[in-house]
Amino acid sequence: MNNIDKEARWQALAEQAERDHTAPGNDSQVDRYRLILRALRQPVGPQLAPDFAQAMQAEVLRQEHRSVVEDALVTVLMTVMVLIGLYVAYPYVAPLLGQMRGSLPLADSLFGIADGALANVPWRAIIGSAAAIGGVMLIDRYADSSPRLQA
Amino acid sequence: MNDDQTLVRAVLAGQSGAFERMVARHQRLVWHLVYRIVQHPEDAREICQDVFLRVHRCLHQYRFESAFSTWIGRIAYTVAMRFMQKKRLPMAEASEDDGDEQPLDRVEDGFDLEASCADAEVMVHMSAAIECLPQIQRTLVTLYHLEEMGIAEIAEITQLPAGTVKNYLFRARQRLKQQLEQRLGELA
Repeated sequence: MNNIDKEARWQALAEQAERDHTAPGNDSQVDRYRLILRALRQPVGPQLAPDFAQAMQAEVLRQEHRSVVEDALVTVLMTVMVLIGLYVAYPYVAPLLGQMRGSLPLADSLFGIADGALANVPWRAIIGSAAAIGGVMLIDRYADSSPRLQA
Repeated sequence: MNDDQTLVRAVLAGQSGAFERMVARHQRLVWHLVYRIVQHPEDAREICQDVFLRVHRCLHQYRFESAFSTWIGRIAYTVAMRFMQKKRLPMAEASEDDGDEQPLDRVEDGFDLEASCADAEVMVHMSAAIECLPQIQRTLVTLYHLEEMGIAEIAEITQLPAGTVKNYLFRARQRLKQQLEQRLGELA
């Protein structure tokens, strides 16, 4: 039996002896390993504070609350920014929307609707609102899929 | 359903105090694992906080396929190792000649286990010797002997093959025995 085999055997016997709580003294090599096993079972020196779990619970609640407030603020801010953007862009976009109206009577006749009915729909307001909502949804979606620190 | 699974579901359901109970149950494992890797109390405390915040954030990803302690252990191990890498702290590995050193001949055979355990000086020396083990060996002996985890669980946490875990454990104990014999030789 070589040295490694001997050491492995002493280690195994020491583990068994510790499990069985047998009296020491039969083999000094095994006893040395038993002392090592006992030392290895000693708790690590410093410990976490006794109220660590409580502090973690409080921290998690604080972070959740902060996250809700931050999300609400970001949503409001983004909505305002999109609306302002549309307001600023309106003078430039309005002529384009006006050109679109030219094709609407054709659509009326295509769907068999009375002439001009679609043309009277407030398209600017609808498209502007849809753009604002879409913008906010996109931002929200981007925020959700942004890379999070994974464990 | 075991206690851990019940607790996980309670935390996911937002039950009051459930997360606190979860932390209380697993903080010993996380602390021992992290502290033995970083060996700095303040850093270890911060990492433990980070670990439990991640556990809370990622709890919905736990699939109940492994023991919850293994899942938490894996997160703690990963976070602590990343911390070490980020700080570029040396992570010493066991040298190849670990097992080749011969025990010192000057050690007498009249070794008294109970007297040595009672000898505070010897036990302090052994604690210091454990702290001086290479980082991976320190981590593995902590999980195996202090947390009483099985080889398979440890292999899952550290992502090491089971045979490698066993080999590191063997070498760590052998190295500690050499330290012990050296110490006993000095005292004799």
